[in-house]
Amino acid sequence: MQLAVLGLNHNSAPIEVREKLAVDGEELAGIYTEIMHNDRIYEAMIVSTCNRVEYYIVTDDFLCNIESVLEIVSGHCDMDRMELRKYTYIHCGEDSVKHIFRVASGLDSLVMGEPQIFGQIKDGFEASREYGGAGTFIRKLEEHTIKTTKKVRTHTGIGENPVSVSYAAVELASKIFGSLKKQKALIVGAGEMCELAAKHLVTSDIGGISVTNRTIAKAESLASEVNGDVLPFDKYREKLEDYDIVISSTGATELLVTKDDVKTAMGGRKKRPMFFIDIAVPRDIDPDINEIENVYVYDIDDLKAVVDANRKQREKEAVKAEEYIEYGIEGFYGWLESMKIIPVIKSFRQSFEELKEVELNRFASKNKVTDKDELAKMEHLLNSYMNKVLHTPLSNLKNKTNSGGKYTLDEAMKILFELED
Amino acid sequence: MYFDLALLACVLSLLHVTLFFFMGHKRLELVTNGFAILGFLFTIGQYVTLYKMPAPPYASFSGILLLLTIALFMGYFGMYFKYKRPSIGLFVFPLTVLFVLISRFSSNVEIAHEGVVVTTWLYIQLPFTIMGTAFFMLSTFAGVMYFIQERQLKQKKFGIIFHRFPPLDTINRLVNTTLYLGFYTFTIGLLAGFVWMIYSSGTINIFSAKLVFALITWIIYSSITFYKQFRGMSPKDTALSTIIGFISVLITYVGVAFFVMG
Repeated sequence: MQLAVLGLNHNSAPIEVREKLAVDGEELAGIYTEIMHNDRIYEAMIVSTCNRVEYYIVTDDFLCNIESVLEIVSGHCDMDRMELRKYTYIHCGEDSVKHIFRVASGLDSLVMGEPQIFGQIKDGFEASREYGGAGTFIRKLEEHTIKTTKKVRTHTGIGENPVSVSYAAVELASKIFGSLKKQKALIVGAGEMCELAAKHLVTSDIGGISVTNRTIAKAESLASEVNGDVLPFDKYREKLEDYDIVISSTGATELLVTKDDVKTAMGGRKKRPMFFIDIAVPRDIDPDINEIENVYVYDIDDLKAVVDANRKQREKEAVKAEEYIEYGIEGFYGWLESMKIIPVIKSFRQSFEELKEVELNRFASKNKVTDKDELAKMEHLLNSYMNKVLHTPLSNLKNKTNSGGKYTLDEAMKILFELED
Repeated sequence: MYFDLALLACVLSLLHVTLFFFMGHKRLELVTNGFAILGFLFTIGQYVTLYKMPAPPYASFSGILLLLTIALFMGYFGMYFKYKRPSIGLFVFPLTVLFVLISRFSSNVEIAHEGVVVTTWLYIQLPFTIMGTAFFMLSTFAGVMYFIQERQLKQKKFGIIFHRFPPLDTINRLVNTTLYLGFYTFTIGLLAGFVWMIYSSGTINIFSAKLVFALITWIIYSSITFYKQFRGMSPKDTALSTIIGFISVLITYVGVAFFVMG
């Protein structure tokens, strides 16, 4: 039995194809039924996110059965099988295990290290259990995926240091103010960048947000989205001292906040710091404001430099993460190898059970023992003896199967029964 | 034995806080605090054993240093539990190593204690003055941290220090808290010292080296505290004044030791 994966992601397929393949709740049940209908596919798991759709199957003939999955998928998304094949990738065996560990850890994501994918993978495993796709293999794979991903996220900085401009701006604000719960932010402009920054501020529990814009309707729309209030555009200069964080991104060609404005504002702030983020080109905020004590100004280039440095840092951390993934694969294959010995252990134990039954019946008939209590006591004694005799060799058989050594029969006996020379 | 154990724990907590600083593993932070707790307990153990020596701990150089180490540990734990940031340990633990080490090799150096009147006031004066000094040290360290972090934010250069040091506002609160705590505890210690001196010699000897040193320290820090309280001070100025304050105290101490003590 081995794991195989058929999938496509943001690197292999354009959004139009990814959209077609995305599967939701109701469709999912149908696809699971179709896949599991194939007798040679023992288990299955589907991951469907905006950036990837992947079909994991447990089979003993991956080439043949992955084609049958491709057939099912092409039928569902109404795409020619050969056309679909161009956008997909296939991994099998160790590569597929490595692939799911990398995906869950965020190493294969569009934004490296993003944490959402871990939740989406967990949802995939849950759906697999719900729709009857999961058996021992997939359940164990889930356990190892969670364990490996947690190790990667705890022991490496893969998820640290923001890699988007707006998030980096909010992180910098946190580096100045600590908690943002008591801070107030002013958003100058109502464009996409302002919206993103405002949303990040809201997720960081900002104390309050005001939006100001030349077109008041746009300001109102953004303010209602982020639960903030609107500040009339002609009033923002005189109200500047009320705000700790100012984020600006407008199309203005002249400076909206000058050094004098900030000097006046700082006069009323009792020396509390102010943080200006200028995401506009041309700039809205005079860069010389950075010279004022307790005032910090960052423009788009500064933020991009921060993001680039963070991205490089994440790439370095990814190297560490790959090491944890290798350990994870080792652990999973260790379990898989130990599974091979399970039928041997079962039949070994079964033969002892049968022997016990035969001997017990023979003893009972020979000595004419009919008392049930007496027979139960004897059976208990034999069970106890048998368990003690079998414990050492079976434990050793299970634990030392993967040690990789080759032994002669007498050596194997010594190891299994822990016999001394 | 306690000396060696305390020294070992201090060295290990310094080693682990340094590793934590560069590697950032949360587990190293826990190990650092574990060794710091051990260092704290062993130092207390050593301080208690000094009572068996001919010179009591309050009258030995070794005892004073151990008390200062205990106070530094307490200050570190207090700050850690409030702000959950171990980076100030980078400044605190080298001092604890140094103090325990000096204390270890100066355990026979006695400060004249013949005729010292032991009253409750002595037991109030000594720990409060030393706790105050430890807080002043902590505020100086926090002041240095503020300057480093502020400089990085202004110059937009973000290295490992930027990521490991707490946010600017947290460092500022650390400076303020330690400064005020230092001032209040030192003032209590100083007042208790006056009362103890009256009990001890019937008068206040204004030219005593210890008193001159304590008074100068108090004047420097009370000036900073009062100015900050009533005139207002920016976080940067507060950080700067704690550093200047501590340097002035050190210079004065050398001056007092040289001229007054002869």
